[in-house]
Amino acid sequence: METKTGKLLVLLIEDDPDQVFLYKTKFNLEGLDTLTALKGADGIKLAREKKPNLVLLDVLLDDIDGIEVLRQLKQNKETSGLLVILFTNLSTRDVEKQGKKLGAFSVISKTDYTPGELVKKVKKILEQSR
Amino acid sequence: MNTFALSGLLISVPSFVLGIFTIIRGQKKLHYIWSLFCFSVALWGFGVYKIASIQNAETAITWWKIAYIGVIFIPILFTHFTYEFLDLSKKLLIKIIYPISFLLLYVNIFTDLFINKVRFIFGQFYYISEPTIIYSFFVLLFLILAIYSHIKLLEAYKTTQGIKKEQIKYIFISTFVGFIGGSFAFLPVYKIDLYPIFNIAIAVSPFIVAYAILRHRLMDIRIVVRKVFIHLIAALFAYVIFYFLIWFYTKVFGDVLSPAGYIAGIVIAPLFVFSFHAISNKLKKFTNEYFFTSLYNYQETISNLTEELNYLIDLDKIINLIVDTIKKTMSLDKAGVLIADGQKKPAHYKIAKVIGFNEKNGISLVKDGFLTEYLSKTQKPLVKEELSIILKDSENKKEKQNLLLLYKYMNHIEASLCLPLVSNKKLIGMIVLGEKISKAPYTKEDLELLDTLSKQAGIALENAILYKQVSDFNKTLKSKVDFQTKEIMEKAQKMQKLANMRSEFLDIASHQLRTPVSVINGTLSMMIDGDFKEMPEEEKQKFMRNVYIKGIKLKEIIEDILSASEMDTGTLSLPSAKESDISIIVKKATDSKRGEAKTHKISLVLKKSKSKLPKIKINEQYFEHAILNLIDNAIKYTKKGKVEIKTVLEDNNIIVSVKDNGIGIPKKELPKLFSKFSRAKNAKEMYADGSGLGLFIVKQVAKAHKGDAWAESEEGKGSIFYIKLPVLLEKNIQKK
Repeated sequence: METKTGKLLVLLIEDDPDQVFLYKTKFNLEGLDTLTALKGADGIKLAREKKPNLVLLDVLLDDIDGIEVLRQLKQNKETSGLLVILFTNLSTRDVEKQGKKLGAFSVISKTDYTPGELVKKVKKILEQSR
Repeated sequence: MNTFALSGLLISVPSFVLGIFTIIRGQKKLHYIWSLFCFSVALWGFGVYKIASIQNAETAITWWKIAYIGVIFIPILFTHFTYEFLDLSKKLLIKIIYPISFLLLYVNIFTDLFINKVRFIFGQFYYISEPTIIYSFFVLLFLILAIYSHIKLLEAYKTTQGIKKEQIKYIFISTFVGFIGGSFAFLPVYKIDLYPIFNIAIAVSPFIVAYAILRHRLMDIRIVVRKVFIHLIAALFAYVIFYFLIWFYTKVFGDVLSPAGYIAGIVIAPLFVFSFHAISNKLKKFTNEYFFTSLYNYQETISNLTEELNYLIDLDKIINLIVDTIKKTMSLDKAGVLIADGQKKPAHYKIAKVIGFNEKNGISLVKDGFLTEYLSKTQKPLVKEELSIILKDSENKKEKQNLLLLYKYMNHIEASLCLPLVSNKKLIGMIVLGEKISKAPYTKEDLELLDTLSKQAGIALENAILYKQVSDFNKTLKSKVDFQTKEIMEKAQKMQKLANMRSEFLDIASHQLRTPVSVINGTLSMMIDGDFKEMPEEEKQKFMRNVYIKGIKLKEIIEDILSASEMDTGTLSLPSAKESDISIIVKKATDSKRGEAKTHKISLVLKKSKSKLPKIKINEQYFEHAILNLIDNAIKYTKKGKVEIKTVLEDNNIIVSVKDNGIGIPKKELPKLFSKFSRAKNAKEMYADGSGLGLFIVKQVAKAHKGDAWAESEEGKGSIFYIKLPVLLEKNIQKK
């Protein structure tokens, strides 16, 4: 789903405001429209309303954890088709297993990607899935 | 003498003898009822004997009345006996029929309403004829009670087991035969002139009962009967020989007092003595074999016991065997075995098993003393009755006194006989016996048997005691091994738990480390990408500040993780716990945070405990760390105001509390606050980089000291964090 300006829309669900600031700044610089949510519930709501092209989902969240957010997104017909990338600092082995099972497109470790690399990865995924 | 007279004699004599036996031995109601029954039957028999030869109608009526004194009571006594014998409780019937019987007795003796006419029959004797109404009523009563009692016996026979069943059987057969036979005697009264020959059947009854008494311990009176039996047969033998000789002398020598007779007597007399002795012995053997299978036979008792003792190694079983064997073979009322407890000085002899003794009388514990000394010295059975003889013979005054005391002591504990149990010339215990049930003294034979028996028992017991010691040792060993195995298992489980916790810990610790690193690296990579060139200054500043804060955070997290990993999570041990004064540590921690508090414009207030705190065993470093974490939190989450640190002693617990008037904690979040990497929602808004380990560390430290940590809070108003440490800690601290 593209925005009116034709840009791709990314939803970032992340509880650390510093990281939100970091990634949002970079994404905007790289021409991606970015929606952010500090809480899981808000993220689910935004995903349903705005139908972003991609959801970057942190696992450790304040209210409901990212895995639960993923489950709810996939269970809901409106959002089940969304591309969801789990984006975490947890050791990815366990998360990957759970995330893949629930239908996450990919699981990415935060420290493995600089913001620039992340943007490239996101763009690549979006192009492939078009 | 006609057949009717003979039947009377045959009825009366055995019944009378049986009645006498029973009354001699009589202890219980049962015995007396039975004796009365026997006497009633005997009276009938005697009456018959007389009537059979009376040729005068009036005298006949008198004797009929006398005979019926017995007959009237036969049915009621028999029914009463049946009730008593079967332990039946409804005795209403008996209470009604006794008065009726006595009424009949009265009518019989004092009026002619019972028996008033006789007629001469079979050309031999006068028999009752034309029964009166009362007589017929009695006959009916007689038959009803006889049938009813036999039905009761039959019912009981079906439901009873063992020896009682046998006894019931014999009682039933005996009385059934007797009553059937006896009932025929009513027939001539009703003009059915059948010669009352079946009367003889009554005579069979006492013999059947006597057999049951001997063989099946009916009414527990066999001991007396046995003696009487032997004497009776012996007397019969002498009697038969006596009359045979008289008959023989008159036949051969013409006169008993002839000279040839005297000469023959010289040969006959020793022959008689010799044969009498032989017959008497045969009789004893016979009675033992056929009537007293459970009474002892020397050789057999000893060899059986020896054989059984050889098989047994279990102390309790041996003791049971000894006590049971002696008690049974000797027919004793009391028997017991005392075993020495060698570990105590002086040795105590404790009950291993007793039957019949009253333990309160002192048998339960015999201490080493004159008795045991005497037994070890003589190593022979000590008989109480013999003591009095020894007493008289003794010249030593002191010994005399001791023997007297011993006599009194044995009297007191109701012992008639003490047998030493000796092994390797050492007294290992004693057998204490009471009186024989028959009250007869211990015979020489008994003592010989008991002596041999106790020697065998002594050896067997010593073996068993040694075996028990070995097996007890084995048991202790096994329980020790089991205990250690369990300990090792527990340790292994603890290690596994620790390993799991470590891996979980590493997972989360790495997450907490990666988070600031990813922000720092991300920001730097953007700088490298040149993203900052055209960025507004304000935004740049924000990036720089974020990086700086994350750097500090990184340092703090590393410190926390180091502390937390030092504590073995969950089962944190206290390698260097020592007696410490909590208030000093709290003061030290507070003081070190004063600077930080000042920059945050927060006043730090330390409130000391009113009472002096007891020293408790803690690890000072960990505890200080925990307090520091709490003060840190309080300062961080309080915008302005004050933080109050308080120490109190409450119910043997020292409680340190840190109270702030900061942002508070939502109620929902309180329970999970102390878990790893938990931060309250609103905590993040304020200070986003908590390691999530601070309160976890606090909790772990408290738990390691067998204490606890918790928080009370109201959102927006502030929080109070508590650490509670129990005072009596020494015993509780887990050892590493």
